[in-house]
Amino acid sequence: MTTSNVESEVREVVREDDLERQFEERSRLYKTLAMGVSFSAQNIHFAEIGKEPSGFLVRKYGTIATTMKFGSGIEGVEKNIRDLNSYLTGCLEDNGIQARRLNLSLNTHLVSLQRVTADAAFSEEEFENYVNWEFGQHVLDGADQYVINSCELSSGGASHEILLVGVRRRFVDTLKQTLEKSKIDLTCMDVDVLCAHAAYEVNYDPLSGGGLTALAEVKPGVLTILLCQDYDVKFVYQFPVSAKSNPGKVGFLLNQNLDYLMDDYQDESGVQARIGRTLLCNVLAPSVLPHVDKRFNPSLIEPLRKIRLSEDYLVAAPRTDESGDAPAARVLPATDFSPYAECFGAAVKLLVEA
Amino acid sequence: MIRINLLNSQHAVAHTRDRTGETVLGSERTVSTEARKSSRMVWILTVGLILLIVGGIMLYTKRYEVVAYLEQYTGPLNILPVQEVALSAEEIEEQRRDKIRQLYMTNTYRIQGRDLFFLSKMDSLRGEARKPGYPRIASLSLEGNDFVLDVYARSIKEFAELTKAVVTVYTVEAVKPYDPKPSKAMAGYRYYRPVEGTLRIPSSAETDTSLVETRYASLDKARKMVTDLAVKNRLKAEEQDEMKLTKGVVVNKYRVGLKLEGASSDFFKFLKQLGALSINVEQAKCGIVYAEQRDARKPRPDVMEFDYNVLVPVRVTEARADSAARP
Repeated sequence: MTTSNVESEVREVVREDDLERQFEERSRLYKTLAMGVSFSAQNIHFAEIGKEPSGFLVRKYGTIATTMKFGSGIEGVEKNIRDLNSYLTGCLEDNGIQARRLNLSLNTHLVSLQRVTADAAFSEEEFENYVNWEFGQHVLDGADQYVINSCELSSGGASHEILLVGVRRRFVDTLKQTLEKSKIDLTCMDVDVLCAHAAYEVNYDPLSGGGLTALAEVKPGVLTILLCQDYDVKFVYQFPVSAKSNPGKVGFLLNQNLDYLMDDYQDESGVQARIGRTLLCNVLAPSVLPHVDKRFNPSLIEPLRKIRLSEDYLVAAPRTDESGDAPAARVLPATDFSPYAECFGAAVKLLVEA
Repeated sequence: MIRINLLNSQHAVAHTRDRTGETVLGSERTVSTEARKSSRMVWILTVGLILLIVGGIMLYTKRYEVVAYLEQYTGPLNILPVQEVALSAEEIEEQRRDKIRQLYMTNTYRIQGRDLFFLSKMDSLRGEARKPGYPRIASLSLEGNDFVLDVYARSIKEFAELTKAVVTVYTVEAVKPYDPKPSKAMAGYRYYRPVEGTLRIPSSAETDTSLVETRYASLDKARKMVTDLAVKNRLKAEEQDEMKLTKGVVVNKYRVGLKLEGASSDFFKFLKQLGALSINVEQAKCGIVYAEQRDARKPRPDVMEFDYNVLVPVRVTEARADSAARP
């Protein structure tokens, strides 16, 4: 063996090591990093979250103001959201986002959410037919024009509680076409309220007193309530509100409907229960919060209760006399993070699935 | 955690096969069905448009015929300018004859109007006979411009009043008085005197604007119309077998004799309605013999002799063929 041959072999080994290391690094990034994006009015909220042994860490987050009015149906017309790709590409580059997977959270009122009960004895074909028929009862067009997903909420006895989620196929197709040239893979498409539910699940412990948790998505036009026993969704309730209603009116309607919801729940389950806490999320949450009845223990959803925020975003805690010369602790900024609940939840859902 | 992914549908939707054999989604099928419908609609509209254009062109080229057809039902529409086309000599001659016929018929209607006026006036004078001291008109006859009344009176003086009444009728030109003669022909009346006279000739139509549109019916149809009209007016009509033809250049005249029985008042209604028909019938002779009513419970009908001419136009082509056939 000549010297040159040895050198070339060593070089090959080194190169293979590099490739392997790069592959491992990419694989790790792919598995442990995810990006969540949600739309709210004219804003795009985004977050890059990493999965670490100690829990989830928000590496990047922010809001992009656009000229597009999301949730109005523009998602179904490509020319109206042509700029979305540019906004997203700019966001990836400006923030140095390394995640390779994206979960896009759609506005809840673009989606049809139905909780239905299916017979446990259904065969696969019967179940398919049942889902299509049941969904068709709630939409005007044919069910074939929708992308339908179902998720089992609870099972037991002779029936299953199923959550049916359907969105118009053209919304999905348009968004897919718009984002297909993006540098990030659109891996999943989800719904705001379900992403907020994921954020709730990750950040909140079950209520010790055994009460129910009402997760209320408060936005102009439609109000969605998920009534949860711990993390299990027991009721899905949607009702329209005028897009121009003031927060007081929306709060009044929310109080009223929470009462109706509890009545329905008690009639159906036969269990005397109460609402232990109400978590408000989405655009109108801060303004509606003062108008929600104290009986329901309302609060804004806090997506950073357990999910940690990157050190870069933390601020020094205000000094007290007892702290002496010790370096100031780094704490969360006094910002309302509730608008980010959906994008945090969207990213977390990808990581949990992984 | 509720796991959904709306990028893909978890549930199969109804698939079907399109014409090429590839499976298509229901929504795609909807789109293709709509496209097919639109395509069909475009075809229908295109064909409809072409038909409309062709119809429009045909209507434009045949506009004079169409308007002429419509004018049969609606009367003159005057929606098209006068068609100025070069007419053949034959057509010009036909137009000239048409004009002559129209003038002739217009004058005929005027004369018939005059006759009707005179006859009804005489009829009303006969009604006066019920008065004491007034003569009785037994019959009256009118042919052309000449008329004759057969008058019976109880005394010679009674004739003077009637003659005066006849002379003062507007349409009467002159009266020829005859000497009264003793007569026993009419019970209760001692004298008889005929009153002959002539009627004024009415002013003739000379301009196109005064022309009356005539409906030319065939000989048989015209005869049937006259007879039907008489029957309609409660007259017993009996057509004479003999029919006299007078050949002319512009029209051929067929003289038809009609014997009518019934009330004279119905006869006047018949004459009035016949005039209003404006058909190619010319009144030739009109005579009324009033029946003597002896018993009011059994009225006897008056007898009317009504001769008329049916004027059948002679076309240039017919006249030429006729002359060619002559040796």
